Amino acid sequence: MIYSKDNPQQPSLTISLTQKDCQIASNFAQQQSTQKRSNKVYQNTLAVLAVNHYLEMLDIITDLEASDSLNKVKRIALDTADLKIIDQKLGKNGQIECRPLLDGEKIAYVPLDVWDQRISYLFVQLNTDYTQGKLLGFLPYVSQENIPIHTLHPLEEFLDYLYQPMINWVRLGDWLENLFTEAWQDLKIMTQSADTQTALAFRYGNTNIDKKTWVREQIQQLFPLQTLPSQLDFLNLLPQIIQATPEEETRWQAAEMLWEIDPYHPATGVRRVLDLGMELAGCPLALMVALLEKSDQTISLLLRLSSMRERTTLPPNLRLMIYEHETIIKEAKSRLEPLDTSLQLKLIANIGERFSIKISLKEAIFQEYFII
Amino acid sequence: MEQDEMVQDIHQLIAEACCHSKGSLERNKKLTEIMSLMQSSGRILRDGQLNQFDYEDVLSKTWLYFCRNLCEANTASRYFEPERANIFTWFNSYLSYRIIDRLNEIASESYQQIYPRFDPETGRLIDPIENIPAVSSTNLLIDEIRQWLEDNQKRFVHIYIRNNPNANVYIIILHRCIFDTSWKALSQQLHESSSTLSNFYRRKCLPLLMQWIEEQET
Repeated sequence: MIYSKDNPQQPSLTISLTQKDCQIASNFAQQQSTQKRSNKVYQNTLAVLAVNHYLEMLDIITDLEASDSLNKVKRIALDTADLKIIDQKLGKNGQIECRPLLDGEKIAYVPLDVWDQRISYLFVQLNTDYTQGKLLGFLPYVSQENIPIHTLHPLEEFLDYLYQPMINWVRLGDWLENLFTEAWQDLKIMTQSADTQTALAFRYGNTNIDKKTWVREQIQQLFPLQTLPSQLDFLNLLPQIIQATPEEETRWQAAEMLWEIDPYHPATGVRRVLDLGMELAGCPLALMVALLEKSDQTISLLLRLSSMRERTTLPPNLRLMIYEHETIIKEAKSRLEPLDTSLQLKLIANIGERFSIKISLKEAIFQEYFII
Repeated sequence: MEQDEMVQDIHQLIAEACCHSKGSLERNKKLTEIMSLMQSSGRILRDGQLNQFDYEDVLSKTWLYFCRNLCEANTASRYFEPERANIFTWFNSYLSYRIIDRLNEIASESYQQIYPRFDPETGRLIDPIENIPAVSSTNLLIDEIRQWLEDNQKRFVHIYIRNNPNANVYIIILHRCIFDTSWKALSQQLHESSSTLSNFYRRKCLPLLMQWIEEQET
C-alpha cells in the first residue's frame, strides 16, 4: 500500500497546465506583497488547478470558486492550496489540499494552516517551466510539516479513499472548550442515573488505598519542603499533585480522587462516556475517555472500557487497542482468571495529533477515530 | 510484437473501464491507469513546431476529450471503438488537429501568448507582455487589512489564548497576515505551541477577518 523505496516505477500521472491556469496563477501571485508569498501563491494555485483538471477528466464535480485558495483574503491569511469537491457520487466531500513540490524536491511541505478541515492531501510536482503538474501520491491526513515523498500512498488508492464514506473524527480539542457531541455523555449524570442498568462503575485503580496517607506521600515526594497540617485540604492538594507529578499513574489516581469530591473541578480535566451500542458476549459496553491538559501543553489521556451494568465483569479476551495510522501502539486484553471489571490504557499526545481505537472480541469490532 | 501487446493491454483496460458507469470508482481507477500507461509509453505525439507552453495547453484539451469520449460519444460523433482503431492513433489524430488549430491561431495577428514566466536568475515572476516585475507597490487589500487591524486594536488585544494576553488576535493576525512570521517564530515569541496558536487563529482570528470582509462586500 505504501510506496516501496526500491520501486522506481511509481505510477504517477502528469497533468498539463493551460494558458488560463498560468494567467490565474500569475494574477494571484501579483496580489501578494512579498516575493516569497508571490512564489508560494503561484505554486499553490497551479497545484490546485492541476488537480482540478484531473478531477474534471474523471467527471468528479468540484467547486473551484468556493475553495479557500480562490479567495483573495484567505490567500493572504493562510498558506492554503485547497480544492473544494461537491460530488454526491463520492463518500466524502470537502476540501482536498493540493501541495506543490518542485522538481527534485524529496520532501513536501504541509503547513500547520491546513492540518485540519481537509479530507485528504494530494502532492503535485511542478516542472521547472510550470507547464505540468505530476500527481505523485496522497495521504489521508498529516500530522507533521515535512513529508518525505517515499511515504506517500499511491494515486490509485486516492480514488478508493475518496469514494469511501467519511470518518467521523471525535474532536477531543472541542472537549477542552466544553463542546461535546450528543453521543458522548456526562459521566456524573450517567452514574447518578436511577436506572441501575446504566449506572456505571468507573472507579479507578486501587480503590482500597487510604486517601489521606496516599496524598501525604505524594505531596512529600513532590514538594519535600512543604509541611502539611493534620487536616488535609484535598481540593487544594490534589490539583497540585495532578500538575506536578511526572507519573501518569499518579496523575490519574489524583484526578480520580478529585473527581469523587468535586466532579466539575477544572483540575480533573474532562471526561465523557460513550455507550458503544453493542453487546459483546452478552455484555453491553461503554468507553470512557478522560483528558487532562498538562502544564507543558501536552494532553494526558485515559481510556477505560467497562460494562454498562453495575458491578459486572468484562468477558475474557476482550481487546482494547490504540492505533497510530495502521500500527498498534498500545493494547490491553481482559483476563479469564480473574475476570476484569475494566480495561484501561493511557496515552500522552499533542494538540493536533490523531489516533484511533479498536475494541474487539473474536470477529466483532468497534472502531472510533480521535483528533486532539 | 511488443508494441502491439501494449496496445492490446490498453484496449483491454478500456473495455474494462467502459463496463462501469461514468464517474464511478472503477472506471476512474481504470482511466487513471490507462492515462498513466499511455504517458509512459512514449507514443504520444510530440510536436516540434509548438513551444512547451502551447503544446501543454493543447494536450490538456486532448486528454479531456479522451476521457469524455472513450466510452460514450460526448463531444465526438462516436466514441472510441477498439476494433476499428488503435488508441494511440485515435489520440494523436485529435491532438494533431488541435496543434494545427493552434499554429493557425499563432499565425493570425490577434494571437496573444499569455505565459508569464519565472526568471530563474532572480526567482521572480515576469509578465512577458508587459515585462514588469510581478510585485506591485500598491497592494490595496493587505493595506486595508492592516488598517482594519489598527482600527480594532483595542478590541483585538483583549481576545487572547487562555492565560496569555500576549497571544491575542491583534498580534497574531498582524504577524501572520502582514509580517508573514512563521508559526515557529511566533511560538517562541508568544510562549505557546504552534498548534495552539494555529487553532486559535482558525477558530477566533480568521472568522473575525472574514466577517469584516463580508460586511465590506454588502
